Amino acid sequence: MSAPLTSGAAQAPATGVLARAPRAVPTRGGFPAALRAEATKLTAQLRAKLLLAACLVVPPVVVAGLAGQRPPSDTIYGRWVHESGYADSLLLLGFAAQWVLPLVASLVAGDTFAGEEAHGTWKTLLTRSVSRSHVFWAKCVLSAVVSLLALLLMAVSATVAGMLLVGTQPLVGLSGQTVGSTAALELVAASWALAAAPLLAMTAIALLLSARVRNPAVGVVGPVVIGLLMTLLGAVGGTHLLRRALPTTAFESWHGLFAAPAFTGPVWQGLLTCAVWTVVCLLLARVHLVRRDITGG
Amino acid sequence: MTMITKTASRSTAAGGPGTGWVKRADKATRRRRWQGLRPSAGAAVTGVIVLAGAAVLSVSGGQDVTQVKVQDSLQTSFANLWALQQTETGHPMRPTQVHPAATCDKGGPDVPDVGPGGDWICQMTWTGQTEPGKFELNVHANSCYTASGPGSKVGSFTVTDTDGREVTNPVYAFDVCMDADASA
Amino acid sequence: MTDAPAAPPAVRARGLTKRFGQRAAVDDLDLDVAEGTVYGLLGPNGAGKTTFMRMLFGLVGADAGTLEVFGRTWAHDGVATLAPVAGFIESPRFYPYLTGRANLRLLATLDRVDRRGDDADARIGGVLDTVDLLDRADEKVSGYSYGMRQRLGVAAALLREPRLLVLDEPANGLDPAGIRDMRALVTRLARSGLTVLLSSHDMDEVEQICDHVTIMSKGRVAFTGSLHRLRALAPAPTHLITTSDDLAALRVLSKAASRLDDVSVTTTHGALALRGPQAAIDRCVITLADAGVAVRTLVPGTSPLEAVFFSLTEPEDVVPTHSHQPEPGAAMSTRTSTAPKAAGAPAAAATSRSPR
Repeated sequence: MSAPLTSGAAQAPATGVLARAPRAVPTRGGFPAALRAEATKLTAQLRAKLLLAACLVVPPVVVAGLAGQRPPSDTIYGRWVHESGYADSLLLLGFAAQWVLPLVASLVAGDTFAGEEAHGTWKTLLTRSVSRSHVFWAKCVLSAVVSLLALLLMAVSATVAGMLLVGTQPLVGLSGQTVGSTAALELVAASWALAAAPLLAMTAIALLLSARVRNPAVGVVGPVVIGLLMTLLGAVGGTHLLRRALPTTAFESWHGLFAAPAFTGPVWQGLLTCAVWTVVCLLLARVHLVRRDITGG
Repeated sequence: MTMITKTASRSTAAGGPGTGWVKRADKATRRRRWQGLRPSAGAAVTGVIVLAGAAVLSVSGGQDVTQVKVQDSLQTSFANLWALQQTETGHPMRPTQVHPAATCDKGGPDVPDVGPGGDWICQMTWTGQTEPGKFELNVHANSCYTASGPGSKVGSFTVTDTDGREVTNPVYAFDVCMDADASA
Repeated sequence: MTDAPAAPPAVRARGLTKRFGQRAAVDDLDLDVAEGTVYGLLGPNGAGKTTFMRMLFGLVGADAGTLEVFGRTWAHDGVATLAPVAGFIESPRFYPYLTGRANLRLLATLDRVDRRGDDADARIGGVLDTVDLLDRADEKVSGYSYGMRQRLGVAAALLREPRLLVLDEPANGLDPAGIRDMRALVTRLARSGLTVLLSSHDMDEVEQICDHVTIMSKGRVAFTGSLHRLRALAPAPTHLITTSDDLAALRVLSKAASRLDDVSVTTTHGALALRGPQAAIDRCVITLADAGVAVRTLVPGTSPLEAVFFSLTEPEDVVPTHSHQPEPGAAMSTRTSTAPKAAGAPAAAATSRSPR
């Protein structure tokens, strides 16, 4: 500190800043204030912007790339990508569910608590006039909003790209039936919407990891690894109910919508499973954050 | 405001009236005990509970993939797709006219015909095909499967439609999803 | 120090205890900070100052005891306890990807400055001016020097218009000019009526700006009272002299003992330690010169307040108390800076060599 502090004070009398009677800090409005502060931080960083931009740009590139190739046959709807644009959208959904959506969930959420740890800013944040609980929920809500926004962009981008680059032909269903173009579009939209539930569950897992492990890298990569392991575990035969207890299983609950007759059992099971995962992870993270001693920074 | 001594806070299970600090102190004490276990013992306890829960879940519940479900879904799907292929190639047909009849087996006579696996074999006949065609099924844990038809009977990867275009042959290989929750 | 019941003290701790594992960082601490004082919390590193301040800010929970801030407690009032408090703990930290001004705006959002009917931007400009950061306010904090961050920390605290300003080692890591400016700022803030709670491990700093001091050692209070009371506890100042002939000098001074009865003389390796008031030291020097012994160096030894500090915070056997032979070398390990320690260094080396 080479510049003398006193000179600045001489020009602008400190009394202007200091001598006023202290006012009571409002006790209400802590959550909106925390939310605005978190939004400020997020928009100032590249992370969220890059994520959303990628969700918008990558799907058309993939759809265009598929056009010139032999259709991939190892993923559901892969063999139909040249016949209907809706198949392209569903292929991307099936592919994204494996590790892209867990990454989408964790990119912001996995850093949100651990980032404060890394910057040593917990003490800066928590010595103002918002409670830990407000900060916690603000971070959760914002992470969820980013996850959902990314999903929405990806869904719109993939579907529109498929419709424009391949077409709006009728789709072959998962019982071999033909699904008309309008019905197919509705089902595709519903399928992407259903991914919101497991996406939020993965976001909650990322939030818990971020709060517990306190390392941004683990917070971001951890959920991706966990998502892959869960997908793998779900793909092993003979796991019975365990498969249904995994949040990643819900990424496939849309399959039933394309069968004839359609079945929605997996949809409801998935919603329930994901709700349980989300609530449990958030509560564990909250309890940890509210109770812990902030000793670093 | 409450003032308490250290001894009071330690032995205060009885609880002083309205003493927030007392509660807090006790929680802290409990937390410290739990933290004393970490990371080794605490993580081990959590791990064991999670693994035990996973083990219980993995042996609970019925079989998602059964012989009846595989046969039924294969027949329905094949009827739809065969009619589609025939229509595309200029022989209009409705699914109800296909009359498929499939017999499926997993892994030969010594293996129970339930559960996912790449060793499901179905012999199927349908209208115009009195000799059974062999369909190989790769059934996944998510109750979806990929069926590959016999090329000699269903045609190759693509077929030529009425406009002369090469289009994907719907019955060369196809994906089917079954309802895991359905009975039978 | 007690107050009228109408006005609760700025800070009141009773039996406050915090353990990390087996170690008690703060151990049954009783402490009162009266409003309007500049209160120094002094102690060696690890004495529990920072932990106490973290408890004050609600960052660390207490295991036992009470801590009130203007009559409020965290357990009862939650974050409202912090309403009249601002400051920073250890070095202030900010979001490196935001500018200094954006960081303050973020904090103003969290404080809901706007909802208090204030123009946040004007307030932010005001506090930035106070710490002389206006011209760098629109640069990212990642490019700030340590001193600039320290000043931004003060600005962030002033933004809250606190009644109690808590500063943890505010001069830590600053260059001499920065230390001077920081002290000037704290003094000026204190004059405006603010209560200041300041931690330090530097007796000099506390002596210059505080009017009340608590010395902590191993999580407990070793001394609390006014600086005046602390000075009363202090031994007479020590001076170390080296002469052309130390043995002769010792003889001369012993002979003149009747005239120099307010001075105690002890030998240390390579120097003589004189303890007594300044006038008596002057008489010693004159006496030596008259007897033909030249005084080559005369340096102040441990300052009196430092001596009290060490005696209160260090194990007995290491303490340089009066009437014993001073052992500057032994005190070296924990002392901070300034010349007298350098004078003690050869003595320490001699001490450690002699037994062999």
